[in-house]
Amino acid sequence: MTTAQTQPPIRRVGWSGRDGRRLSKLATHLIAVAVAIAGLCLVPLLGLSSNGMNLVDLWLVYSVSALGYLWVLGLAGRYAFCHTFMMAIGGYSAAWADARGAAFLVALGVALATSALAAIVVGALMWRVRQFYFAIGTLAVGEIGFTVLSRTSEFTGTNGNVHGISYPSLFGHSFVGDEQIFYLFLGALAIMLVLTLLLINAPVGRDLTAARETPEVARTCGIPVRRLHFTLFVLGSAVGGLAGALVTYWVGFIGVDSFGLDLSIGLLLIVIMGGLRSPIGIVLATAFYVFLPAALSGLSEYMPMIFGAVLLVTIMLFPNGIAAGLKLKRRSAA
Amino acid sequence: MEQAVALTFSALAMSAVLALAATGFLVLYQASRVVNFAHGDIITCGGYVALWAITTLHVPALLGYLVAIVALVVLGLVLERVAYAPLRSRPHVVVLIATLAAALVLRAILSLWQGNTPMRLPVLIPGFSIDVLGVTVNGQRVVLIGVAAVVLAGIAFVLHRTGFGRRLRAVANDPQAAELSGINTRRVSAIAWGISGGLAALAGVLLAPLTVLSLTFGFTVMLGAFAAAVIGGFGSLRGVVIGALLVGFLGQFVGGYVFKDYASTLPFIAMLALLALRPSGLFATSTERL
Repeated sequence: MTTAQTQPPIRRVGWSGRDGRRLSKLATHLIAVAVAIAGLCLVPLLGLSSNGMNLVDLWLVYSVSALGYLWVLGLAGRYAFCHTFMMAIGGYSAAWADARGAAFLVALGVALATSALAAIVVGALMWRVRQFYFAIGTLAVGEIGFTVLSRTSEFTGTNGNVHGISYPSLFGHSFVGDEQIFYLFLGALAIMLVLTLLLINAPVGRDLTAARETPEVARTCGIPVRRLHFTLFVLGSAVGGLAGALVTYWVGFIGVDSFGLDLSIGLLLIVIMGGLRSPIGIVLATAFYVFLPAALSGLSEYMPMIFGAVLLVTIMLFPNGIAAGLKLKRRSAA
Repeated sequence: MEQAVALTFSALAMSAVLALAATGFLVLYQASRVVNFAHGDIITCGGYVALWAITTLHVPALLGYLVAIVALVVLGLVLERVAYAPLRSRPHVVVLIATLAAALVLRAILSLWQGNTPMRLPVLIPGFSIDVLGVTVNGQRVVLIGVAAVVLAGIAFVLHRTGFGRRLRAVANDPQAAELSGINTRRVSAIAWGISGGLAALAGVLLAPLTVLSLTFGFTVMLGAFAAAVIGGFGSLRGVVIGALLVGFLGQFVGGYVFKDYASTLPFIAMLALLALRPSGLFATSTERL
């Protein structure tokens, strides 16, 4: 017993023979995602109402953003409240690039770059502060950002409103209407799901687990905890920027209210509900967040209360997310 | 000159509100390590309860204000029982998210009860104003500054000259050691919730007549109070007061003269600059005191 305790922790680097189970889990998840995405391809053929199709698109694009937030919150363990601000930066940069005649992909690249840059600045300013200072500080970043965006007219339009953004087009094909946008968003979601699954199950995912659960031990083993978390914060924020750009191209308009505080809390709800390390749980939780208000349209004034209550119950009963909670229950019952 | 006098009074009034709000927030943080994101909505709630008492029960403004303060002390005690006690042994982050959820629920209840229309709370003494160097100063500002000064002095007295204050500081310093020396930490934390609620209500009712009472009223105050508390080092009462004065004067003077459009962002910029340069606050010491 004592020998086991005194042995220094050993950090494995790269794939090793003991990763068989990890690889098979990754393979199952990837197959499941492929099947689900293939199944979703049929959704536009169902003949949904225009409102329904609109909600489906919203679900997909919010899922992309929420997966980015999962990188920040779940993988990097940073309680950042500036994710919707990153979405706004992405949206405005894309609109700015579009107004100057940039192609769709170029504008997306600009959105990724500017939101990543913004995240680097925010992170560099506040990386050494305590966890809840970071929460408060990022909240303040959002407040400053939205005030500036709504008052300037240089980068944004008058009072922060930009109209008339062109249709997104890829390789000469324009995506017009909710049915076609659906495929664009589905593609983006598929890429994000695969990336997130790879990130969680690859060797770096092992480092991330160690860095989250026992940062001191992880650091002792030579895992660059801070650099890993910083990189994930920046990348996750950039994904948020990408999602903001996608929304902007879809709607053809961006205003300061497009990505407000409500969405910020919604994204937090999604990641807490979906689980801090479960990409599929995130997509399902986003569905809950997007479709529930539509299903209960008569109760719209009660929605904030319902969301608040769900958040409270989830965090009290399943601090690791509903999916993880159920899995744990099942395992202990067996 | 006239503008400077007017701005000084606005700045002092703003600082007074921020100091009250931030002290309420800090007492709670020190006693129970809860970063209460619902504090802003508790402030809003104070404003609405006073408005309800004055317009529906037709009581005088002073009584309405008192009703709000008492109601919010009770709300603080209830929140401690219902929302915080079950979470006592959970990680801080879980508690932080729980307070956010509580804020959502509270705001939704207020919106159902009072609607979304911005309202105005009556001032404490109608028609009261004073003249300073030829400038007429709104009486509510004077009341606000005076009440805040008296209350903060009272809080300082309680914290440093009474048994309860000593127990609270002990809990803030080291909860385990305090518990081992026979301090009833649960009772201290419950009382701290009550005090926090009362201070929030006080800040709410005193500021509301000077601005517009809406659902996001308290949230804005809370953000400013955060900035004041962070600048003050999140620990001492003295730090909070200095932080609040800094934020108040910065907002009114720099905002009033130079960056008119961006005045509301100044406290946050100051806070971010401070976090970047001195991550643990302007007056940080190795031990935490209140």
